[in-house]
Amino acid sequence: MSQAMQTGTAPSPNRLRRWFAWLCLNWRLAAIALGGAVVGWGVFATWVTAIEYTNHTEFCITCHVMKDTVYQEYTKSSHFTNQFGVHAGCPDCHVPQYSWISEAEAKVGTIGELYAFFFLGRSNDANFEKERPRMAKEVWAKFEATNARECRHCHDYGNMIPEQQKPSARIKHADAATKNENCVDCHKGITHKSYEEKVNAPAPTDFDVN
Amino acid sequence: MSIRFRDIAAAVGIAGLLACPAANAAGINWASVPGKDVVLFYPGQSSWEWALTPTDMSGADDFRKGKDCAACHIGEEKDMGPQIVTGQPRTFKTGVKPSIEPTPIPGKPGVIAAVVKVANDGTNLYVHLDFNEGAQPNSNQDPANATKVTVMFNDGKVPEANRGGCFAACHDDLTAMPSAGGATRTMYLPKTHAKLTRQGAGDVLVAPDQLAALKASGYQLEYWQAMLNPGQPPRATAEMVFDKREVVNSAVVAAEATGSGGAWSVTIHRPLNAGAPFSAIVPGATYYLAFAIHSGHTARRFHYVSFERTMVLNSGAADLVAVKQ
Repeated sequence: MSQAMQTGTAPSPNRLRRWFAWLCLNWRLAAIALGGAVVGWGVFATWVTAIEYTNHTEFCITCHVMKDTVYQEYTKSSHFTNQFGVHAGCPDCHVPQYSWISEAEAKVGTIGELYAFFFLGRSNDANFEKERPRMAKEVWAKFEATNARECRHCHDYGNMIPEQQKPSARIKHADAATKNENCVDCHKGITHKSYEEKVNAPAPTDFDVN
Repeated sequence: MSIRFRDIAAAVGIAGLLACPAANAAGINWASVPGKDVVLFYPGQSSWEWALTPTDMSGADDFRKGKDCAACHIGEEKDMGPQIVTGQPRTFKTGVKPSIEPTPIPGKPGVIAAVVKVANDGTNLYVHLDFNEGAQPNSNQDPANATKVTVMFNDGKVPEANRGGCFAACHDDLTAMPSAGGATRTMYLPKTHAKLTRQGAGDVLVAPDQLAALKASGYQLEYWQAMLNPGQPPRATAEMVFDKREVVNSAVVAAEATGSGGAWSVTIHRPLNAGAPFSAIVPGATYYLAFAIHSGHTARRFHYVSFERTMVLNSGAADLVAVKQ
C-alpha cells in the first residue's frame, strides 16, 4: 500500500500522470467500464423506480378489474380503516417484504396477469369472478409457503397482549403461537370475499375423514 | 364340568358390577377441584357432512387438512349458538349464510355456560357440571325428562371424535336432520357405514367382519347420560355409539343431581375399570370428552353441544385433569 494512501494524502502529480498515460493506452477498456457503470446505474435506477412506482395501492387500482372487485372489498375491511389508524395497502400483503429476490419474482410474476388481461379475456369482472377461486387459492398457498411472512411483518405472536384480546381470540392465538401456525389457517376471507361466497364449489364426495 | 375358583370370582365380580355400579360422589370435595369453563351451543342441523362441505362451512378445508373443530371455534360458542337458534340466516363479516335451523323453538336460549370438573377416587371417574339452563320453553318433545346431561367419551380410538367431538356421530340422515326423509336413525360412527355422502350414509353398513374388527379395535363412543327432573332423583344410562346408539349396560353409569330454577349441579360417574366394552381409564392416557345438554323437554338434535375436550387421570397436560381425591 502506498504511503499516500496510508497517510490519506492526495496522489502525487507523477502518479496522476502515470494513471492518465495508462488510460490513454487502454482507452477501450476504460470506455467499457464507464459505459457498464452508466448502463448498470440506469438499470438499477429504473428497477428501483419501477418497484417504487408499482408498490402503491394507487397503482394496483389503475387496473379497473382490481378497482371494481377486490379493492371495493378491501375498503370495507379492517386493513383499510380501523380504530388505530394503521393502514395496510395492497403491496404490504401481496409483495414480499424481506427479500429483493422474492420481490423481483413477485413483480416479474405479475407480467402473467397482464398477459391474462390482454389475451385471456380477464379484462372484465365476470371473468375475474370465474377465476377468483383459483387466484384465492394461489394467494393462500403463497402465505402458507412463507408461513404468512407478509402478515408477520405487522402481526407477531410475541407482540400480542392476550389479556386485551377477546376470549376466543386469546385461546386460539395461544394455541397457534405454540404451534407457530400460519395466520391464514384461520384468517381467510377477512379482507376480500371468501371465494366460497361467489362460486358453487363442487360438492365433496369423501366424508370419511379422520 | 368343574367350576373353578377363578370362574366363581369372575361371576361374583361381574354381578357386583351390575348390582352396585358406582360409588356415590359425596366423597368428592368439589370445592377443591379446579373448574373449566365449557360453553355449550345450539348446533341446529350442523351435521358431520355439513361441517365437511366448504360451501356450507367455510372451515371445511381446514378441518380436512387436520385442524380440529375446537382449535378454531372454542370461544365462539356464545356467538354461534344465538345466531343458529333463531332459525334466521347467519350474518358473518364475509357474507350471509343460510339458516341451519328450519324449525326454531321460539324463545330458546342459544347457549348454556357450564363449569366442568372431573375427579377420581381410585375406583371411579366423576364428571361434574354446574350450569344454569336459563328460561327454557317446554318443547314437549320428551315429556318424561326436563333436562338431560350427556357425556360422550372415548379413549382416543375414534379419531373423528378426537377431532370433532360428538359431530363425529351426528349425520345428515339422523332423525330430524335434513336428509332423514322421515326415517328413524340414531347416531352412528362414520367407519361403520359403507359410504358416507353429503346426505349421510343411510342404512348400509360395512361387512360384518369389518364391523367386528372395528368394534374389537375399540372404535366406539361411550354415551353417559343423566336424566333430570326437578325434585326427583336423576336416572342414568350408559349407551354405546357404534353403527347406532344402543344401551349396553346402563348400570355402569350413575348420577347425582340437585337443581332448582334451571340451575343444575350434576355428577355423572362410572368405574375406572367398568369392563368391556367400556374403556379402562388409566393414568398416562389421554381421553376425549364432549358434552351435550337437552333442556326444555327436548329430544334429538334440539340440544346444546360442546366442542371436544381432552382429559387425563391424576395429572398431565389436558383440558381437564381428573384429580385424585
